[in-house]
Amino acid sequence: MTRLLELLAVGLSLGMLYALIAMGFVIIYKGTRVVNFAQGSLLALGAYAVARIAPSAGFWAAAAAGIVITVAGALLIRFLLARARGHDHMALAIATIGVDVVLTTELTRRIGPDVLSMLDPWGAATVRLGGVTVPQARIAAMAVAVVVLGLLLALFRYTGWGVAMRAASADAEAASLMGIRLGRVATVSWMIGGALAAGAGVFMSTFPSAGLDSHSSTIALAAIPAIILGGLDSTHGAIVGGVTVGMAKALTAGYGSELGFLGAGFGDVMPYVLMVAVLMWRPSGLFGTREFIRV
Amino acid sequence: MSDRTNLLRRALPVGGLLLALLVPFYLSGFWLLLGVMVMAAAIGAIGLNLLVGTAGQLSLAHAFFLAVGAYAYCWFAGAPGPGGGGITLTGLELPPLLAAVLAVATAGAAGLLFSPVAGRVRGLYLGLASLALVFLGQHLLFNLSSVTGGFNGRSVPELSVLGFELTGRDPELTLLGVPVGDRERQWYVALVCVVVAYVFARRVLAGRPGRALVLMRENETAAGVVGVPVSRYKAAAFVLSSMYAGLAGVLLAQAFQRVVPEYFGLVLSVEYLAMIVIGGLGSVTGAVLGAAFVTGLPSLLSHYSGLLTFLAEPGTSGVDPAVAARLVFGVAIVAVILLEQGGLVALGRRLRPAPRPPAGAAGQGEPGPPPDPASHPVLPPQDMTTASS
Amino acid sequence: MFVTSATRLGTAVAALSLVAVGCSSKATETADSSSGIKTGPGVSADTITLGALTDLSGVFGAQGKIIVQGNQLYLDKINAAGGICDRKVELVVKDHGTDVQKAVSLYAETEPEVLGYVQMLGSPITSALDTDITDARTLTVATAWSSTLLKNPEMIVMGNTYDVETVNGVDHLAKEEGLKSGDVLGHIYFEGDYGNSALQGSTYAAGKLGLKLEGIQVKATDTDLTAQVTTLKSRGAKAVVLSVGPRQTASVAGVAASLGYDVPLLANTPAFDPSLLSTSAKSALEKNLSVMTSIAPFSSTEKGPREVAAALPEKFPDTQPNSFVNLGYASALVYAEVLEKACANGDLTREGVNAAFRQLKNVDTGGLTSALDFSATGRQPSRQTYVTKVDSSVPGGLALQGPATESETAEGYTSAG
Repeated sequence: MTRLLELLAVGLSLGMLYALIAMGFVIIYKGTRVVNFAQGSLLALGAYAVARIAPSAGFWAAAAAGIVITVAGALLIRFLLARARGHDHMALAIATIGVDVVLTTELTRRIGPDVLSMLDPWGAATVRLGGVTVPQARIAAMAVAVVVLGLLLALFRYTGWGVAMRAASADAEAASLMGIRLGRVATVSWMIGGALAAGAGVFMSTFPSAGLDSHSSTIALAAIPAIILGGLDSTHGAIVGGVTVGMAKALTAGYGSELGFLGAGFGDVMPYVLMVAVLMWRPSGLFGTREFIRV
Repeated sequence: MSDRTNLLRRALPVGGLLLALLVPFYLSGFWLLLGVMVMAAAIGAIGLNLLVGTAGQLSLAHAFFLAVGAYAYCWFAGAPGPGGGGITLTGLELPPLLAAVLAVATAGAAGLLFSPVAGRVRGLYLGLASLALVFLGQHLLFNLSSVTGGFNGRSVPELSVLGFELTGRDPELTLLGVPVGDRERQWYVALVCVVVAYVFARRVLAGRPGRALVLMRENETAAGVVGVPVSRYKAAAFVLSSMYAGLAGVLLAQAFQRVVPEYFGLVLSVEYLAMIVIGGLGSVTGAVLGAAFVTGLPSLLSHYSGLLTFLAEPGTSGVDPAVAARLVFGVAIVAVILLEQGGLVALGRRLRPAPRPPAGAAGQGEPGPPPDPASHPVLPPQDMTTASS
Repeated sequence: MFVTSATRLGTAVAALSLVAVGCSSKATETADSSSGIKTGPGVSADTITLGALTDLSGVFGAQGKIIVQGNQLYLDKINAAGGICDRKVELVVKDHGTDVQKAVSLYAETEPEVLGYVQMLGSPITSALDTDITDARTLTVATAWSSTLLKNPEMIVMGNTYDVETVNGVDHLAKEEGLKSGDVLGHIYFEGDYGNSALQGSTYAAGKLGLKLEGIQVKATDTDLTAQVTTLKSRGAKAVVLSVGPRQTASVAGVAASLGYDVPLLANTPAFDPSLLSTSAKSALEKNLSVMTSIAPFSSTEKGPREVAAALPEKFPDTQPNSFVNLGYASALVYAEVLEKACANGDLTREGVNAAFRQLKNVDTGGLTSALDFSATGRQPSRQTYVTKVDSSVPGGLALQGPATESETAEGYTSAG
């Protein structure tokens, strides 16, 4: 029983990281209908900036700088894509794959053999909660995810941008006809998505992970089942999806010897199995907006 | 005058084909191997383009179907026996040609199995859901070790007919003083396959099914209304595309001589997607050009790195040929989507001189395809969500 | 009418080309006989060309680069002393980025112009090229230690494979830490031949010593190993073997420390990198991690490692030292020994080089590795393993704990291959 509890805590802690990554994808998708495959390299860019700046300026200043740099990177992608006016979202998503290849190649070259440390204030410290141990860094990640989610909900509800965003995501054409400036919605979405990437990049490189290395950006791929599970355009879906994936991974890894018949390392495949199962049941994820076809 | 352009249009493919037949007499094994890889990739890309470019169904699962083709061939044709790392392999030892046909069919069957998901899930959700197949596929490749050889991979039996190896060296053969070894033979096999695959895809697209797929892509409801059996066509597109991937897998296996699970990962799927985007979504010729670009570029850059003085020596810091190839690959994807939506094909069409000067066009060696019926990618009339203010 | 014209044109082209084939350069085989020494591909009158098929831009780019530098350092030394067989030794470096297709194509490109390969990095690559290497007879140093490599007669393995390394390591651990029969031994390993080779070793050693093995497989993309460590802790593992990458090692050490799970950790060669010592896992690594390896650490005071330590900063001042430089240096050294022997035999063809390779029964690398015996295919070139401890005060981060030794437990062990 304690083992199950421990593994659930591990899953929750891992899930918080996935949730944070997934939220970045979702915000950008909600505002622009583009799945940003370059999100992984944006994570790495943010973490890389923090790791390089922190030794001289300290963690918090570096984190701020990292966010600025990543937001700038996201905006660059946003304006690049805007040049392709009139393209469909599939083509734009593919374009972000191109951006990802370029950015990852350059970051890999720069990071080299190193494992870069974030020099974050949490270090390897942990908190004991009801018999289970949770790393402080992950508690901070959870706090960031919850605060961002709260802020977003408030933004959606009380600001003009939020209304515009909701309108744009419900029906872009109608929103545009009503005078909503979709360009601004897109810009703000990319900025938030970029900032979330920087945050997620930091937490993916802090304890219990060792730091940032040249493989790091692939972790964003592991968040994709989380996004699909929750629904591409649902922020709270991202959190639910992230935690589900984290739990699934932790439990399959923890009970690996009992699940031996599925083949070693099934924990890595489990999220994808869950994802396909959910999609067969609900084709737009658990909380995603369903597509209706009107004739 | 129009007689002459017409003549050229007809003579060009014949001339090109003859040239392709002669290549093995001149080029070394490296170039032949590169050619085989390009041709195999072209077949895979044509298949993916049918699905993504023509039918409008995003798929990142192509690497999985390539793996099914490659491994199914090895299992059908391979002999049982000890593999590496204490693994005992199974195999049916069927005649290799039959095994190749069965492998392509198996890939098609895998596509059919996945098509219910494709029928239910749409657009970007489908693209992301298809990722699952790549990861599940690799998990199976590592764990079904009696079929796949596990992490050691599996050696590939030569394709042969009545004891004559179509892709190996046995029996030795010399034509006009040039030894026709494994790479030369593989070239011819790949050439036959790519020509058949190309012609078949053109036929499919020019005919009723092609028009139906395009209509479905543009407006699924309308297609249903005018009597296109939408779900059947969707499944058929998936099956056909997977069979193309399966054939590409069989050919690549021949070129590699040993298949390993690491190869069939997400990167491979992304490369195939890049091929059809760079070449031109929806165009068969584009798929071939894109395959040549994506597959050939890294090798060319590396081969001629001595001449490209701006590239660093491998091992020093700076941009070495492999890094340069990746950067060009990434930039090309972005550039095509931003600047020239029709890809290389559209670029070629734009560069080609108008048909009036008769001799000029021939010298360029342009493939000069008749306009593709389905060469225009998915372009909704306007797209408000991404437009900037 | 068009069709017939086209056909006519086609026939003309065909006829022309048949004439052209007669002039094809491939049609004539050039036979070359030089004085005294038999030569083949990759050897000219004044140069011997060797290849290095490595990863400089992909996921193992960092290791690849430093091994190339090690290769280069030794070849520079040899060339400065007049080369081998009156020939300069040249290195052709190609970057495959751990992409199988690119590697296959690069092999086809370089194979005709090199004698053999002084470095081939990446186990998917060596698996994929296994058949080609055997067919073309290019003697190749595999920059890995999987037991499956031993089967290939053209493959040079620098020391003992992961399984023997792990048997020796587990035996050492059992003695040092007093593991008893019935104790649980944890093993976290990568998918693929690295992890599986090591698992064969730990399985054997656990069987011999009466330990209960608890294995958990992970992937290179797993970087938070909390679930795995938690599981091993709850199963009561008394020690943990790590056949993973550096980041996983650091995660395991850090998580174990945070859980108050204070057990010895034992890592294979690729599982450690000195840059881990700048992460938060540093103190945990220093306290509990030992690394088993066939390659002496950078800080070793033997003659070979001293040579490397002196030469490296001169030629590559920016390189952060680690034991992979020693691996590159030792690989080139072994290859040079083979070539010297082949030269003495008067046969620098690939067949001659392989024959010379199999005549080497006791190669002394000056303490970069233990003595290597290459006389038989399928046998470990050495069965002795170095035990090193993490020590941030020495360059390279690893300190030697004594000479390389073979354990009693390993004596009866043979690789499954």
